Amino acid sequence: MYSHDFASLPKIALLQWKMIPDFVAVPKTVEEVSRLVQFAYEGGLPIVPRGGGTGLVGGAVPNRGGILLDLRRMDRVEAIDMERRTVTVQAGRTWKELADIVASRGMFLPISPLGAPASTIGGWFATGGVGIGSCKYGDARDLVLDMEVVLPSGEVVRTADRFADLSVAYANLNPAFFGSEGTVGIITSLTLQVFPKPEALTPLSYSFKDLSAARDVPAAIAGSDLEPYNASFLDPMHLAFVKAVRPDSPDPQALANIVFEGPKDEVTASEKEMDGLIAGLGGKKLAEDVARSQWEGRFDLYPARRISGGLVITQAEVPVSRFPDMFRRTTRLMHRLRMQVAVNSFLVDRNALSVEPYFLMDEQAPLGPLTLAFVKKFADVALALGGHPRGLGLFTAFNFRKMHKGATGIYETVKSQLDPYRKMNPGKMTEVWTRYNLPIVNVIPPEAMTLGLEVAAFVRRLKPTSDRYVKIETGGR
Amino acid sequence: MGLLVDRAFVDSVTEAPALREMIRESLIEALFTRNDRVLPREIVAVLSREPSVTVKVKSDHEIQRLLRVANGEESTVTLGLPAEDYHYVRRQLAISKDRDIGVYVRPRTLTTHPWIVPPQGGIAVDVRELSSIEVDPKGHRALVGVGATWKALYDESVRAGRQVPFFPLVPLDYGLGDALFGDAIFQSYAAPFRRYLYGVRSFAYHARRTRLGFEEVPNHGTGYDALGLLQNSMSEFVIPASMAVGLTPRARVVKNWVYQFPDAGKLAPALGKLTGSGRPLLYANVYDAAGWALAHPGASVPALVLELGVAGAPTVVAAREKALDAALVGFTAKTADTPPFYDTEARAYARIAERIGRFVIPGYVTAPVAALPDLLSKLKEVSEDSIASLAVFGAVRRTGTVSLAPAFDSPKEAAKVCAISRKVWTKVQAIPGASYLSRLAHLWTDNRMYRARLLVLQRLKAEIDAGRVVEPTIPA
Repeated sequence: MYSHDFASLPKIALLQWKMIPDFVAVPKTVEEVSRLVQFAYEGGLPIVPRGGGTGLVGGAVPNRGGILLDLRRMDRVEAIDMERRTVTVQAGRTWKELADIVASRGMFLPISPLGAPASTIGGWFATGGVGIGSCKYGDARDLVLDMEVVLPSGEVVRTADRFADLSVAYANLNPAFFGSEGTVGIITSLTLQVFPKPEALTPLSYSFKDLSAARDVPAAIAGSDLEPYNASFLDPMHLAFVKAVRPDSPDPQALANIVFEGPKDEVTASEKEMDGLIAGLGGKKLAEDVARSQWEGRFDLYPARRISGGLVITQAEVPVSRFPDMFRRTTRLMHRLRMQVAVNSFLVDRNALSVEPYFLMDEQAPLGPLTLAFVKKFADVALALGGHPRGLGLFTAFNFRKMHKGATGIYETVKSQLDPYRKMNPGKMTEVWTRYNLPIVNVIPPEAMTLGLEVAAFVRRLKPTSDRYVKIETGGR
Repeated sequence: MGLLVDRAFVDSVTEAPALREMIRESLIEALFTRNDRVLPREIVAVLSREPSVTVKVKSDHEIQRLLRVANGEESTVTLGLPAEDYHYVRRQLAISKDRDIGVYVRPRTLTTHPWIVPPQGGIAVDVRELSSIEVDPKGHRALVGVGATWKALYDESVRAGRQVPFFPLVPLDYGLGDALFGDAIFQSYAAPFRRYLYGVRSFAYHARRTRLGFEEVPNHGTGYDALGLLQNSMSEFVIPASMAVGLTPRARVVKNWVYQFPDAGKLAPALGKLTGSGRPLLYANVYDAAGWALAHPGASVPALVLELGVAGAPTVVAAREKALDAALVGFTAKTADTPPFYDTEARAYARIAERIGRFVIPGYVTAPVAALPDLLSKLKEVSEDSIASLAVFGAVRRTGTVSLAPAFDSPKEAAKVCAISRKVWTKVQAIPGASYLSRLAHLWTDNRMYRARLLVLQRLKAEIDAGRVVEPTIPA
């Protein structure tokens, strides 16, 4: 179970990486984590922290064996301060559990990952958490006031002053660990900002007869003076995938799921405004129970995994204004690679849309892994449109230099200064390690990985037939 | 100069044999006031240096050239200066000499006071002419030169049908870049400035372009948040030239409501209700009578003012107004037609800001809103103790905290500034959950965790500025 995360990994990857750890440790205290880190240092072993294993890019999967730290037992809620509206929790607690605990005290944890039932607090922060609620409340950075972190030296530090206003506090190290994928330290405890529970939370669902109208919806919402709590957009292909395993789910159609939260009077007024806006774009409001079931199913978006046994999700953030371009190019890519891809998305803020295509992959089929070419090609599209792919790990680290260009050296410095001996989740961000600790073959140059995926894309194009997991009849495809 | 340079200098001075016995805080005060009765002559000499030349750059390309000069890669010939300037610059920098030449960015407006360690010769970069503003016609963002003022961006955004969603905590005429290499604080009711800062175009010490973050979207899942990590002290790592910031659409209805409160005992619970209500606001500013009068010449109020910026759809704003009036129990008067200070015509804005800038603003205090009465009474004690009248500017965040910038009507003499800052720091430490942000408090703070965090940043600086060009650290 520790040799993969949520994403499907082709068996051929075992030739390249030693994904099975030599040891698995399940610490309960920060002292145990510190001792394990020191032990790893003395033994010359790489050490890989892991939360709920809900990652999508192999960030918490070993590449050269070593010690894997399963942090899920570190799940104690250490303090809830109602007056200052903060909660301090160990890193291994899941977002869903924490949200429930906080809710039972009349408070509100406003953002959460799509994998909230399994995704851990520390894990999501370390992967650059943005998700449900980010549209209104920002990302995990906006919630985390202070953290306790074990550095590669084994030293335990607090990253900030929990009372300071972090937007301006001096010597705030939180950003060094946001998106770090556990490569510069192990987060063991976090103090988070919480908010009073909103008076009302109203999910709304709108359907569109064809995709061309739905494609303009994100920009229309971002350009309006409404402030939804969450705005996600589901592709007919996604609903076709879901319908294949859950026959009672809605028919394939383009869906816009909008959620408002806040005082009841404002939520009601916002709902009316949104109804008007969407009607102007040709959308049709769906019944309340459909909207409610969409909201309740927000953490269970990928039941289609059962169809093929494997599923790959890729993510990118693109400018909202470029979404129609993004959609067109992604669709073209899907046709060229002869794949069925569902393209879901959600608003990150007024400018950015998180686009999250996913496809089914038969891990057992000899040519199944060739579909991974889509991940590379999709990242290229995002970069070309002024956005960036999201997530760095075994399969995506080759994007690193393309994303940061001239600033790459600064990122490498963060790693080299905090982890000079390169033992903390090494070889997954600024470079890609292989399982072999020998000269020349110990590192995969990004160009080699890029070339390999380009070849895969070329072979996919030669494939005489398209992958067809479900049948879909809609105006969009 | 900046936080890390000052800190490194102070730390190295405390190791000097002649000064090792001095209490750290007294030593910092001596350094801040350049007390030559306490400090050795060599240290006073370091503290009295000035930049060799100040160059007003007009494009980011000129920053690149200056960095090349500082690296010794180019002579000043390529600076494009007239002959007499060329010889002046060359002579001042002593180009042919074998020594480090630092490049220092000069903030447009400092809220508090200059850093302890001044530029040690070298080139001071005046960025005021890097003031271009490009509002994206399709999106809600702008690419802004670091020298452009916040006010100019605000006005330009309104013209383009956009809204700047972040506001200065103190109504001074800041450059946007002052948030990166000065001490300006921008924020909204909903979020810190960080959320609106997408990326910074900058130059590393070797004069290569270095873009931190992205320009059209925020950074998530792209590796460490280097932009956030370096944000408050950016010019100690790289030289920033322009920044991409997020805007919002201009709402159909934008209102500025002003509520007057008789005392902090009434205002604090109202702020508790406000921040607990979940009502979105653009800003929630707090002024005392003196602060309000400074920002609004000719206007007077009895005690305390809460100024709310509200934007949204007409029906939503109508619902919000009724609810806020009901929630803000204890206000004595409300005006709905006072234009926000931000809408003041640019020259008048600058004049008012200039007047406020004459006050001693030693730092920023952040505390839970419930602590506001205690905080204000403690600031008044400082004011009485220092024989300097007090004006207060502040802003509330929806997290339930209030940040105040106390402004003291006192001469800006180093000894007085230091004494006032020290008194504020001492008082704030007695308030549970409060923190004090000031460059002097940054030097006074010497606990193990703070030192450990600074050590990480100092190591990063040493590596990122390996050429010792970007505001180099000065050993005592």
